[in-house]
Amino acid sequence: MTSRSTTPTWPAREPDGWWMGHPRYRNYVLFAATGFVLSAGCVVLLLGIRALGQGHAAWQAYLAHVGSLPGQLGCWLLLIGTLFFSLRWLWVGVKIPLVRLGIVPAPPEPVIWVAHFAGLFALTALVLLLLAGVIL
Amino acid sequence: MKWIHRLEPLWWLLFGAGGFAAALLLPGFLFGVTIAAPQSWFSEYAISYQRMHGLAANPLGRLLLVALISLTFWHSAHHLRHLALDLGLGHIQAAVSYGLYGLALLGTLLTISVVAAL
Repeated sequence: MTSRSTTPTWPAREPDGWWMGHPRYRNYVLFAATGFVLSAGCVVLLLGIRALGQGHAAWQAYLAHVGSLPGQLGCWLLLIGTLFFSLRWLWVGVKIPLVRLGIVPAPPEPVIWVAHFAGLFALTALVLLLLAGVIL
Repeated sequence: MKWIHRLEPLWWLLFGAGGFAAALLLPGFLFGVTIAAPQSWFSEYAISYQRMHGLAANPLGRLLLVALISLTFWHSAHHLRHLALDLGLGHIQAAVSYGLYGLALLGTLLTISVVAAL
């Protein structure tokens, strides 16, 4: 026979500051916080697109703004944060086909690794060649 | 919150699509537009107003820019929503969810209007 306890209890919750307790937790939280960095990067790009829509002078002013010392500091920080996100996202992405494909045989792990990071390298190169005027 | 939970598959779909779009394309665009172009690492012709406007205003360029930027906003909103839950903000999760997805929707509409004005 069991007796039900009448002691009131709070639902379980994480201890405060749990994410500082282990490097893996810290990396996990930093990864989730890259949402701020990605959004800020998109806002900077959006300002550039708006300048393109406003004419030649606005585009030159945009380049001068982002090219200033504070602008460059901010842009390098955004780029570093975005690269951290990209590498971590693809690292997580590599694990998905290995676990989730189920009845479909997964390709060998090295193939998945190469496919993910070759994709990042190829698309980054393509975008830069396009912007640099090498293609088109 | 019922409405947010009912659309959970949609949030995860946008999260995944935005994650891959941002991971594969954003580093190149950020480096090229905000670092290499203002530092004149590209030729004057490459970063001239006429050429850049032509690239962005091209139908494919418009589609790419809207997809990349708006999907990244949705991805970020979903990621930050779960970060808030993990950091113990579950008691205000309705406000956090509506706020973040509302900002992503606003960002999407803003992106469409800015790209349409090219």
